Amino acid sequence: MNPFFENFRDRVPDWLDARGPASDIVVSTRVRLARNLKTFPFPHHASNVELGTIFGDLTRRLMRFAEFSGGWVLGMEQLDPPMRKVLLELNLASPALVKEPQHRGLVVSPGLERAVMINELDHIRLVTFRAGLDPTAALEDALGIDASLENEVEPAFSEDLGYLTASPADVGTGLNVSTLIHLPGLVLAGEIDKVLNALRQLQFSVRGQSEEGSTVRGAMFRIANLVTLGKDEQEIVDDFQTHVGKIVIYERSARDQLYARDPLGIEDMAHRSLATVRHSRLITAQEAYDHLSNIRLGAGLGILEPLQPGLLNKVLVQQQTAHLELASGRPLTSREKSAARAALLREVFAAE
Amino acid sequence: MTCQHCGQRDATVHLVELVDGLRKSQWLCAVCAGRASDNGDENPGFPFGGSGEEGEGEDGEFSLASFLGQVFESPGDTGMADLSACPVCGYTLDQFRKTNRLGCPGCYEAFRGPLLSILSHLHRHVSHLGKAPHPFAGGLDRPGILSRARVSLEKAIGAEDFEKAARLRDQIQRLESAEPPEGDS
Repeated sequence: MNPFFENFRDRVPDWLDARGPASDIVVSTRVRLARNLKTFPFPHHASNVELGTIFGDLTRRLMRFAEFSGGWVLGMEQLDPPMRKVLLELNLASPALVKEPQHRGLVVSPGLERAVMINELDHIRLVTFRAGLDPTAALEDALGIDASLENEVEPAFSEDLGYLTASPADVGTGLNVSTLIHLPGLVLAGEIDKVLNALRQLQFSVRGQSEEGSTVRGAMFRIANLVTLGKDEQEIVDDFQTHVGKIVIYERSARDQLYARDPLGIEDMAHRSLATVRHSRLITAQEAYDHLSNIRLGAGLGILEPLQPGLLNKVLVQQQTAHLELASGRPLTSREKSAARAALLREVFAAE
Repeated sequence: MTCQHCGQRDATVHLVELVDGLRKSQWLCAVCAGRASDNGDENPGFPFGGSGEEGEGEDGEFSLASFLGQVFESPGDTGMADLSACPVCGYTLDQFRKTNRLGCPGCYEAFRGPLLSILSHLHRHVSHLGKAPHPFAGGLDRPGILSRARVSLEKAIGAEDFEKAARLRDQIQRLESAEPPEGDS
């Protein structure tokens, strides 16, 4: 077994520790740079020999970087399907990487705050994470690794179009900055559609929590920039910071107004959810997301006793299906998953 | 011109490799170029590859660096590339329309016309204003980057965005102080 997966329940990403800016609302920020090698076809059009060459060469080079020292090389082909899904649930691997594992994989840093996906949609997809809303720090980190890579391999770059990517949606800076944000106040106040539409007007994409799904669970949204041309990296990140920063302010004020208007209702919701996760024997994923959302809201408003920082983020990741299956060491039926999820939540939220 | 490998079919692919710093050039037909590219037949028209030298690197490893020196050109210099297929990788505009993905970096040149309208729709802009890679020797058009940075600097000063202007000024100073690349690229 790849050593990455030994004691994987303790291997919690640093960026889930809730110690970043606006961590009461924003779980994490991710920056991604898409890069390609100048003389190879893009991964979906490349031969297996080419893909194998690229994977071998890039992993060797990256593992020599200080940023990845002590980290891991995770070849998707060598991993069992539940392990691949765990990487997906950690947001380290993308659905594309899981679907087509051959000669594809990633290099991950020890704190899981940096990763390079190799032969995903592009040859190189460099990602960095930060706790809370901190796109500038994540960008700085990503550009540092990018500069080191450019000392070693020549990227596909055009003078007028910038970094050339498999999809024209990423060309230019190849920069995607996204954030996972919890907006229960705006959802309960019925303001969420207005806010999300405004964001879409400003050329941002808004989706549910998971990389693939558009389903919104537990009022968690993923906001990302769409425009990669006509602005430099810092401008893209500054615009993102400005607009997401405004949403953080709207969310805080929506929460305060809701609580002021109906304190008993909000308190009941938070306590009821905490009681549910403390005592249930079967909990589906959808239920878990909803209760965790209410508990997060209650803790944020000071209704519930303070929780250990990052605990809610950690459990949000660990209650997912592949994490539960890998922890039990075998495939689970959906009833068994609900039972395992309930057991995890009881343990995490056990009353003192 | 006939293929320098089989001597039968018309050569359509110009394979140029840098081997130990020496330029090695061959004109091949699509079939031979495809064979040179890999053992399988996944991309028969694709002109990349180790030409049978795979696995013969110094430490028995297949080196990416040997690939990076390879340059491919379309036959002749007519500039009249067939717009329906990329001369570098053979990917067609039709495939792009189906997958929304391009075949290789060269596709951006081959399909430039249709792409520019897609890009202006997607991004509302068609110019890259972000960072450029470290210039490789003879690789990039440094004066182009410089002039673009100067235009951005003027814009930033006009908009009183002094933080950005300072950044651009530093970038321009770095570019100006760097050694100019030798020869033309």
